[in-house]
Amino acid sequence: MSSVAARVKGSLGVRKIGAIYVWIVLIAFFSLVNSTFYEYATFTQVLNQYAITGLVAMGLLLPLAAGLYDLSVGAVLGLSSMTAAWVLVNVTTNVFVAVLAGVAAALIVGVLNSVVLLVLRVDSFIGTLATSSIVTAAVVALSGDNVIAFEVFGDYGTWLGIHNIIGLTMPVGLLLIAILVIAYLLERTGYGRRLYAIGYEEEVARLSGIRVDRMRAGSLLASSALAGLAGTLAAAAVGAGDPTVGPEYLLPAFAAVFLGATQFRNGRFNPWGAAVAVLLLGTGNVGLILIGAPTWTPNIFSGALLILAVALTHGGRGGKRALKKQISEGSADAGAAEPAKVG
Amino acid sequence: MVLAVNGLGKQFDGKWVLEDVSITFEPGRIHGLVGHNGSGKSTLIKILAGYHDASAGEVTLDGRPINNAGPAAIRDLGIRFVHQDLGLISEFTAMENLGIGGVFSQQSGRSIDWKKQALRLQSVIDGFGSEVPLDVAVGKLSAVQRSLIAIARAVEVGDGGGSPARFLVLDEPTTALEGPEVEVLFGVIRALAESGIGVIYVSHNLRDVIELATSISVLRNGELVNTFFDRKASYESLLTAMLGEHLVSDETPNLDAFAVSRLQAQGGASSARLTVRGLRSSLLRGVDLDLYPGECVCVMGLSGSGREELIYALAGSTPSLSTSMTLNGAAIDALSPLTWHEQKIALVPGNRMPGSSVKEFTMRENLSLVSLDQLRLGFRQLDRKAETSMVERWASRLEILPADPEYGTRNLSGGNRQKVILAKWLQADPTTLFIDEPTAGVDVGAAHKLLTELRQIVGEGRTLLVTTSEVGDVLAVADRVLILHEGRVSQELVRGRDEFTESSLLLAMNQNIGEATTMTSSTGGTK
Ligand SMILES: Nc1ncnc2c1ncn2[C@@H]1O[C@H](COP(=O)(O)OP(=O)(O)OP(=O)(O)O)[C@@H](O)[C@H]1O
Ligand SMILES: [Mg+2]
Repeated sequence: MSSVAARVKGSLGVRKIGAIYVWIVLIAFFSLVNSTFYEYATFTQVLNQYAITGLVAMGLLLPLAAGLYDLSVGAVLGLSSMTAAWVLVNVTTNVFVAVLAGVAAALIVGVLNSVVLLVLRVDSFIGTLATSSIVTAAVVALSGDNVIAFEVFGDYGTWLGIHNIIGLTMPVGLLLIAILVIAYLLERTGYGRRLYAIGYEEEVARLSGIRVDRMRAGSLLASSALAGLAGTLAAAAVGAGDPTVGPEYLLPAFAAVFLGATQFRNGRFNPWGAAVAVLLLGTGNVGLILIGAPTWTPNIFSGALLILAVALTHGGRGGKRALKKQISEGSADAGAAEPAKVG
Repeated sequence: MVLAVNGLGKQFDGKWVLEDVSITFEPGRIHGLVGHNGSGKSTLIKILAGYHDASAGEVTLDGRPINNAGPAAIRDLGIRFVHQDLGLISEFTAMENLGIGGVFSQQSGRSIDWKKQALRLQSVIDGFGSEVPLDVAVGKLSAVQRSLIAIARAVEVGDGGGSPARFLVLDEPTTALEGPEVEVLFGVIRALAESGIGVIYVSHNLRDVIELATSISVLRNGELVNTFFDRKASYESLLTAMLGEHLVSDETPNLDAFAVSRLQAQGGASSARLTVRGLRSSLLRGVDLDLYPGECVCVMGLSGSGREELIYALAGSTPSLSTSMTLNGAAIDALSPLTWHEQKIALVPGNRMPGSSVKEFTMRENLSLVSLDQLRLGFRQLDRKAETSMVERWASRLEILPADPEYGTRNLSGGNRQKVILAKWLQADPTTLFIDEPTAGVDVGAAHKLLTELRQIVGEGRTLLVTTSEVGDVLAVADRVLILHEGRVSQELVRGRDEFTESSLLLAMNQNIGEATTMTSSTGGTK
């Protein structure tokens, strides 16, 4: 058993909170290169811009914890931004109604995903890739591939994009709430424990009487809902519904969740890690723009971060050694000896 | 050709789990390796296999250090392993499996020379004096046949260079084999030793080890206590060496007197907790069961008899059908893991089955998984303090080591993981438990503890249905024994009514072996 000192040391190690160290290095680097970087305004800019990515990431945590990919969140985000904009232009300028309409549209995709993955039993990676493609195409068809612009400085844009407290806008507040709620669910309740059990070892969950499909459906609906909420906020930020806005959030959100999994919780998908990863991502991207790097550099940064994150989660913890360990565990002692059981 | 470990040590997270161990393994000898759960046996073997690096000391072959050679090179040196799970792919035939762990015969064009392949494997299997079909998916074969294939693959020479097998390491090879099947395996192991191969045999079954091995090394808490040479080990001396002062009491509860009175009380089927008629599955051909409160029923049978499938079929985790089923007197359609919360019937899968534990979870998280509702505070919050103390209670009750609730399940030794799995279900307080091989991989002391625990919960009025291949377990806990043969109950032995001894149980099973279609020869035969 490790002593208290060893545990404290362990929890501050590069392996546990490496992203925080990288974040500090990034801040130092950008501050040195550009004297206008190290300011409160930069901080709020990062948060305000990346809160939307953060919301998508928080939603993704749930299906990923349950062992499912949800690649449709980008398309869902586009759909809900279009729905909210359409409602604003054609139905009512009421902020709540527009947001609810966006989230409701997103939930329809959540239901679709649940049917495809849990009723038709399509693999989640392929299944959500497919629904994503269908949703994107449907949005383009219905909108005639036009953006739906509305009055940026109307109630909607003002409430969701401009009003702020100490420089922080509504999306940041919503993200904060989402982090707390998801953290509570995943780490403090039986619900979260069961969800993780499903993701790690479906058969254990099933034999433990956990309603695997029902919980997975819930996680898919939740991730769609949060992506939908993010979409309505994305519309507010630019004053328009844009059918093509989705993909630009998909990759960063995945990068954040996977990098986040390497932080704090030994490879487990968790909201705190994802939040730090979003900060890291935002700081890097905003910083690159501020120091005048070309506009394509942020994408490279996100992509590289995603690779790094996944390498750390899967190959990581000692590379070859970890692999060797896996092999020996898989066979030497813990392996699954299946008696001739025919399904 | 001598394989030796000298001053071998291994450290995990600053803790020594193997310290200064020196053992010499000689060719042509069977060397037993025993020790309590977590004593370091598997770690030692993983170092031999090149999966772990030693933290101290070295492994030598004829005095040459080989501990940094890596798994492939170690195979080429002629040191071969049959791990507990055998490492066979069920959907592949024996020959195809040979290509995975062994070396395929390759023609010049690098395509596989199936003919040559078949000849090679056939010649090895022939040497075992047993018949094993090589062109059938391994999953369809019996457990012994699969063990033999795994051994054949390990000792197979391979024609792409490399040396012939010199040492064969077997980790708990008799798991899930019933008495008569064990004898077949032993015959093969002895024949291999006679042909000059050094065998290292890891097992918790001390009687098996004593019967088979000429030398036996005992590990305790990572240290070598003693090596007994020339068959000088007795059961008692091994037990003392293994467990130290911590001796197991030999008293078994007197179930016989109790059994008679219970038999009389049982009477009509109206009092049965669970009745099943005509249970069918891929291996079962119509099994009838009546299970009563306060009794423990053990199910035995050779592999392929349906023994390995019964509780899974019953609990509805494997596709099955039955003509009728009643639970507490009321007719039900079928059982399902989903309804266990209402029906309080727990399915406890074997240690090595998929579905037994989440490797990525801590001991605490695995243990509480079915009892989370007992730990609920307001707003569905989990009571972490209560959870931790619950796990600590079980850890001390079943002597789980290390007794750290935050210990990763992945890092627990096999036997300790088994204790966690049992504790998980016992904590959930079911009225009926279906348990698969409760003591597989558990050391003698711990097995005694587990069995006592099981007997106690039966005394509380619970119903137990246990499938096992350990006759000792059956004698310790069973009120009734059902012998399965070809998917049906061929015999029922009732304690207090029938003769209930090791020999009577083995006899009941042996009656089937003559006619068993899956096994054509039961003698290993020496060359
Ligand atoms: N990868 C690992 N990381 C940390 N600790 C480990 C690891 N593997 C094993 N251990 C610890 O090392 C000790 C020895 O484990 P090992 O698996 O060698 O025991 P064993 O003798 O095989 O026991 P069993 O009879 O239960 O299989 C145990 O305390 C175990 O928890
Ligand atoms: Mg072991």
